[in-house]
Amino acid sequence: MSDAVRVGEPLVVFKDVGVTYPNGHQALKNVSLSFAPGEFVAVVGLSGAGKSTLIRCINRLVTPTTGSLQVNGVELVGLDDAGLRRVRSRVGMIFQNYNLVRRKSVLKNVLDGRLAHLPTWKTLLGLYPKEDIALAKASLARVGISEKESVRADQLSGGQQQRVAIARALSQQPMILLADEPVASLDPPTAHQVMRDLRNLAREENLLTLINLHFIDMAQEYADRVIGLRAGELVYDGPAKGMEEADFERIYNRKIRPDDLRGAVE
Amino acid sequence: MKGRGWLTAAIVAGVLYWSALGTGFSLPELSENLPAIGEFFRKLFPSDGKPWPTDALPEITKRLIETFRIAISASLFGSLLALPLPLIASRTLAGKTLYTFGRAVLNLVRSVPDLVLATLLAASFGIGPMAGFLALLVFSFGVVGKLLCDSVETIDPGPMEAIAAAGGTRFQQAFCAVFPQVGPDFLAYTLYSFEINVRAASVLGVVGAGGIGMVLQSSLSLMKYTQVGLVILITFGVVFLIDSFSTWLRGRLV
Repeated sequence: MSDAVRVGEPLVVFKDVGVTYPNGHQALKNVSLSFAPGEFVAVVGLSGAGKSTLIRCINRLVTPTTGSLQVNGVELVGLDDAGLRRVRSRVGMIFQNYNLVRRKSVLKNVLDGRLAHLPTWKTLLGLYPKEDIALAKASLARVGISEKESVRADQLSGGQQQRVAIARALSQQPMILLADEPVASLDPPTAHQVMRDLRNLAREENLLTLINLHFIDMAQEYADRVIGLRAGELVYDGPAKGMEEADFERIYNRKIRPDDLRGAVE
Repeated sequence: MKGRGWLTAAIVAGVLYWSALGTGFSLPELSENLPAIGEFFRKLFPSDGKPWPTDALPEITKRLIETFRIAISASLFGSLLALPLPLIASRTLAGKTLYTFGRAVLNLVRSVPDLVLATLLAASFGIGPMAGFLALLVFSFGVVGKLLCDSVETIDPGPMEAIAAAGGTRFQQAFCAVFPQVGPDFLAYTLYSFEINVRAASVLGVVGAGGIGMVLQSSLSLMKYTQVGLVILITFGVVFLIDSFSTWLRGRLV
């Protein structure tokens, strides 16, 4: 993959992508989608609808079993290991449980975002180039927790840990940011703060951002575009503004309930 | 107890009886020979106001230090060699075929008793601490490797996934996400193998593999019983101290 984002071209293209797990479960069915640089997209649906599978296809943590998936012009299906690592090096990912190494310092965790550029022997000796360390520190500064860099990750609150995870993704200098239920483990005020941070970062960096969200009101509040999945099928794709009750009911296959909403900040 | 319980009890009792028969154990024989054991123990202590054979102390000290050095070096090198084992013998890091192979090798290594290995090595490398060192190194390698692989299989896989998603190699996932999680376990297992090695190193000399057991063996064959007593007392004290210290250290790790 060339390092530059191709101008005027879609960044991610799904063409008839299907995913069938080894146990026979069909998680995605013939999904065709395309995303442009800088889009801020929320993926909504019930649990088990295929949200997680969809975004994990983009860094091939899940491999499509049918169809084609291109990231910045590179076909992911059938791509070899080295090529795959090169694509992944520019795709940041954030997880529901932060996925930090709890016993390592905050800075070491952020430096993990640079591993794709570090040869094995330098990894063994912990020889990160000066530029990588500077980049990691700058990433921590951008999420506002520079003063925690030498603290062990498990000493931080959930919101702080998620910020470290965001800094790790930023240190990859990504062109795409994937977030799998990034605020599901956080209390409402912290959840809104993290969503605001993600949106601001995505705007400043012109990052294509895809976020799986359980709460439809959060999706509407922060996203430009909403993708709705139901039982592995694409049932909604459109702007977040102007979504109607009927659209949500199509996605959820039932009336909206209070527990589908996170609620605004008081 | 239901029928099955009785059946289990009967089988256990049967096996117990059968194995006891094989040992030639008999209560009359035990009570008959009890005085002889007492007599032997008395011989280990100086009588008639004679002193302990302190002239043997330099040799005892030298061999004790040798025991200690065998145990330390074997535990350290064995554990270090075991460090990469999770790459081939844990479900977390190895593919299915490699895992099956790795576990088989590990089980094979652990199935050789250390005294048998020490005897074989002493026969091929000659009498001396080298044979003991190698035998215990293999033991530490096996036991630390097994425990470490089990630990690695219980880690949180989340950080590995994060490093994979960022383009890290399998080795980087192991080194940057898995090993930091099992670090304290690894140190505890190294100490645990060291405790066992200190005790094992004390008897290794009996098969000619170096350490304090060499003095024990030669004193016994020369029938210098008070010297045997002295060796046993000192060994007991030193092993107890080392063991307690190591257990305390392990407790602080976890």
